[in-house]
Amino acid sequence: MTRRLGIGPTDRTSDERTPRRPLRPMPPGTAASFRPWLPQPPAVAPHEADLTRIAPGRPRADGEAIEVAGVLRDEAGRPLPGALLEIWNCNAHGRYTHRDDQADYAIDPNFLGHGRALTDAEGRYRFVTVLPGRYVARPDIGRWRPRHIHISVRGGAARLITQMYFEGDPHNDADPMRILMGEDFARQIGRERAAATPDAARGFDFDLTVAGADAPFWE
Amino acid sequence: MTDRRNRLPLTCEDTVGPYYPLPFLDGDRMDLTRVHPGLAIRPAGEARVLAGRVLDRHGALAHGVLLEFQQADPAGAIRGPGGDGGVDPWFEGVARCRTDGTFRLRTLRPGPVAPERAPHVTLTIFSDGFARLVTQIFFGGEAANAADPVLASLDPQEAARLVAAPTGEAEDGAPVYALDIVLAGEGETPFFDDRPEAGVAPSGAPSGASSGAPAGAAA
Repeated sequence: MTRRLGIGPTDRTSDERTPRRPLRPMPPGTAASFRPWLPQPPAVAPHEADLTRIAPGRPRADGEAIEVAGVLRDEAGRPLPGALLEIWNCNAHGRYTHRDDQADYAIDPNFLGHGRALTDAEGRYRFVTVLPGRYVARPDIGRWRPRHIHISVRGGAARLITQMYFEGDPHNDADPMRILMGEDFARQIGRERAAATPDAARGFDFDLTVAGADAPFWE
Repeated sequence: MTDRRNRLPLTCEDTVGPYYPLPFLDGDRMDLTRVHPGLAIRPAGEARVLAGRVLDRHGALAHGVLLEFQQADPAGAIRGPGGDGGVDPWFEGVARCRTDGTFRLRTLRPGPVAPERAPHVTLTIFSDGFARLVTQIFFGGEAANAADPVLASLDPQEAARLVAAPTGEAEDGAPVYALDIVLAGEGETPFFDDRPEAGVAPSGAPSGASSGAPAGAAA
C-alpha cells in the first residue's frame, strides 16, 4: 500500500513539516518492533458517543444532529471488536472547542466537540454529533475546509487517524487532501441514509478498514 | 495468508489536524518507571530519561504534535499480537503526549527484543500537515548499536540522527539522553514505512504517488 504523507501545496504546515526524503524500508526481521500495540482500551462510558450534549441531561448543541455509524474491519473483512474510536469535529459554526482554535467563529457553549466509543462484538460503532460547519483554513488564498469529522482508531496493532467527508460539499474539490487521495476519496465519504434513531435528523454510514491481517485484536 | 486481491481497500490515512482533543490524553503517561506515585512497587530496571524536541524545516518547534512511544521492558519483552510476552506486569510499555514540540519520557532501559537488536524506543508521530510517521530512537553508548539492523540499514550520518546523546543526569540521578527529531529539511530524521507489504499496491488502490513522496514538497 502506498502511503501519502503530505497534504498538498496549499497547506502551509505540510510544507514546514513533511519529510522530503522517502520513507525507508524496514530491514528484514524488524517489522514486529515497529508495530504499535495497545493492549487494552480505557473504560469508555456509553454517553461519550453523544457529542451533542456535554453530559446526559444537559442542553443540546446548536445545529443538525447526525448519526455516524459503521463497521471496523481488517483487510480480510473480519470485523474488529473492542477497538477504541475517538472522534472530534468543529461545531455547527465552524469552531473547534480546542483551546488552540483562535478563529472568529462562535463557540457553542453546549458542544463538547469530542467523543469516544468501543466497537462492539460485530465491529460496529455509532456516534451522534452535530453536522460540522465549514471554515476558512487559508484566509489569504480563500481556501476552505469542507465539512469533515476526524476519526482515530486504536486497538491491538491498528493505528489509524482519518477524516470522514460529506457528499457534495462545494469545498471538497479544492481540498488538498482530497486532491491527493484522487479516486480513493470516494471511500472517505460518509454515505447518507435515514437516521436509525430519533435522536438524529440524518444518518451517515462510514465503514473503516485498517491494516493488520497478522494482528489479532483483543476480544 | 489471504490473497491480496481479495483484500478490502484500506481507509485512507489523513492528517490529525491541529486540534486533537487534549482530554483524550487523560490517563496516558510519560513516566513508565512507575504505575502510580502512591504505590510501593514499580517495574524493575535502570531508569533513564529520553528528552528532545520535534522541529520543522525552519528549526521551529512543531506545536501540537501527538507523540506515541512504545518499547520493550528491561528484559526485552514486549506485548504484541502473540500475547504479553512475559512483560513485567508493572511495565506499561506505551507512553503518549501532545506537545508544544518538546518531550521528556521517563522510562527504563529497554532490553533487546532480538539478539541482534540494540535498545530502542519506537516513536509514532501524528501532526497537522502530514499523516502518521514512524521511526526508532536508540541510546548513545550502547555497544549493541554497532550491529543493530535498523541503524545498519542507514548511512552512518543518517543513523546518527536516530541515536540520542547522553547529556547528563536528571535530579534523581537517572541518565538523560537527548535527541531532536527533525521532520523536514536539513538534518531530516529518517522515517520508516511500516506497512508490511510496502510498495505493493493492492487492487483498487492508486499507483500514482510513490511510497512516502511528500506531495506538499512538490512546489
